[in-house]
Amino acid sequence: MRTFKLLALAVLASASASASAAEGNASAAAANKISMCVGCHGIPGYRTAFPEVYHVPKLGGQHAAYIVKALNAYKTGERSHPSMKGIAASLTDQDIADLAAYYSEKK
Amino acid sequence: MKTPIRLMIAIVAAASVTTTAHAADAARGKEKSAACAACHGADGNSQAPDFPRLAGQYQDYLLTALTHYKNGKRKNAIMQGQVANLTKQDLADLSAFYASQKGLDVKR
Repeated sequence: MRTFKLLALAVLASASASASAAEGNASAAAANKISMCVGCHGIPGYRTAFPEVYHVPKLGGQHAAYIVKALNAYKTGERSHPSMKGIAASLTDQDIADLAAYYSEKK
Repeated sequence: MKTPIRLMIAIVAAASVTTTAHAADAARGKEKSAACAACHGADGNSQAPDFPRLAGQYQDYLLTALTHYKNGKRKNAIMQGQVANLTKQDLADLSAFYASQKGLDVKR
């Protein structure tokens, strides 16, 4: 009985752990979701025009966890940028995880 | 008129103290980056995934980010504390340093 309880607890723990963290799938992102991103982040030397002019940041090789943090920050408004806010708002947690996985790989 | 050498030295010293503008200097930025290395890595390739890689990032993007931390347009308790004691020249030099390192790329 005790072994069963321990086993049940372990199964529950692992189930909830995998449910809360979306596993990123880079090829899923590549297939469907990068179309909104490449127009700015995929062009070498591309610069924003408003409100300030600077180069759109390179993403290739950036830490996936940081990309997730950044996209969520745009979503919540913690970080503000007119284009990024709109784009992040349209992304699900899975999308964000997939995109983060995609951009964290350099090639 | 023959300017005394001491006066000339004093004038040059005064001028170099008051001027702020030299072009962004990566070497000077590297010296300044000691405090940054703990989170962002010695060359800007951070180990911890929470702290972004800076190496190879566009120089003006880095400068914009640092400036925004300094003027409050971008909020982050750690970063705002870090830039509080940095001058605009420091920010420019740091940006030049990290931009010159190898790391991030443009990915399609």
